[in-house]
Amino acid sequence: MGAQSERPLAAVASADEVSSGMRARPPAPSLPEGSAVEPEALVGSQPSIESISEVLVGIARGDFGVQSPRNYRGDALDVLSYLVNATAEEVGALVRALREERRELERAQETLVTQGKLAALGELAGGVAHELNQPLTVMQALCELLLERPERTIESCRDEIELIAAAAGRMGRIVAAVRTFGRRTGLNLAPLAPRAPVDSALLLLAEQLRVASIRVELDARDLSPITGDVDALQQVFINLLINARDALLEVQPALGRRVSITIGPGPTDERGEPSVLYVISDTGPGIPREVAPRIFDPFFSTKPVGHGTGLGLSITHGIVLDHGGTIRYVPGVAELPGRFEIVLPVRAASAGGGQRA
Amino acid sequence: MSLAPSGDGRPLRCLLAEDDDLLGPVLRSLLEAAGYEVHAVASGRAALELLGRAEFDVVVTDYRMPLGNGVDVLRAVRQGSPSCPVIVISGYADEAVEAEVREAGGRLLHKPFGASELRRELEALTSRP
Repeated sequence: MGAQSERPLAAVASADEVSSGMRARPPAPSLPEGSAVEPEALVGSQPSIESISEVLVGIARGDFGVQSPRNYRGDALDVLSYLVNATAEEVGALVRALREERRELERAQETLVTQGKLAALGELAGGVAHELNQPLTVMQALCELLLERPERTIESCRDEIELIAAAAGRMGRIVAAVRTFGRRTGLNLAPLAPRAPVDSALLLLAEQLRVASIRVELDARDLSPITGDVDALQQVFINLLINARDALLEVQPALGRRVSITIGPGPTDERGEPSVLYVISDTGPGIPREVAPRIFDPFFSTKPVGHGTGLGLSITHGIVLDHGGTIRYVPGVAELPGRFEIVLPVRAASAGGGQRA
Repeated sequence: MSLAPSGDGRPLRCLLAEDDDLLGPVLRSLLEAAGYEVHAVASGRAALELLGRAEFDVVVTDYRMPLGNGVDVLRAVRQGSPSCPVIVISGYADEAVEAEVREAGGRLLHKPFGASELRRELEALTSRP
């Protein structure tokens, strides 16, 4: 009875033979001993309704090694046994193939994530090199100057030494910014009023905005609370407001330096979940079209060197994504200034903040 | 420090365009130590404005600045004065930047550089027959 010829992939093809031809054949095994595949578990010694249902139960719970015995008489129980055994093997083979494919996909995905991290690292390295070059030039030039004049006293070199110290300090800040960028702590989600992070950002920046003669127009509708991390979202608006401030400094105060923020209902997503839309615009020169696609890249900056890390919008982007939201820059047309649009789902879905490098 | 007098005895006038609040003053003192009369600005636009009002013997400009980059400055200089030496300073070791500066008729100086390197460049560019 251990001699059934249950070759998994040939099983279905021989089903006709079983249901018709086998009937005339003697019950003796037609294959030589040893060529048969041993089932992992054989239920009883004769086909029965019980042994057949055991196989079906096995299939249902994902155990494809259970087989029903056969009597090779070609009777109904024998044929049914043959069919359920073949089904178990076929389904088992399919499931194994699917699992293997899924493993391969997972491996491919891991490779992609690694490649993405490497790309980000490359970008970071280039940016850091450039940022460090500036203070490095200062230090190199001043040290050379000092070395050329060995007769000068320390006291008379104070200005140069202070500049060297300032340059070293800036290098330290760049390194610290990189470290903060790499460290992404999890979000601390809690219900909050949609305007709360905007209000606190405005509070923190009030002095800077006032000094720069910038007027802020806030139009916040009365909206129900959203789930979010108020500190992280505050960072988002601080970054955008600092960018706006820096852009507006290019504009003559007489022409009007204005930032406008509107908070209102956003689009509902495919599951019908509501969202909040923040629109931030300013009367500054706007972001040039050729630059716009790169603004969320780490270390990309159009600010004067030494005035920005180039990480602000990149971090902003990351925080919004982690809230399951979107951020985009819509370039201005004619009189309409360029604007940032942030959509945050009312119920923040933390979208894998740990994936970023 | 060697002075860099022009033919008629007055010091050479240098336009310095550098927006960095640390490197700007350092470049200024380097240039002044080399005997130049330095007129410093912190943006491309300010450099262009000054170029429209005054003449310079040499121009030192950063590549990346707000409101017009170093090549904009270089091109503006070339329109009025084909022979005025222009040094563009860049922290990018980027071939495209290098080609852009060369094609526009300027010299590219890579950061970081030392005081002597800048002086050598200036001497080579401003030496007169």
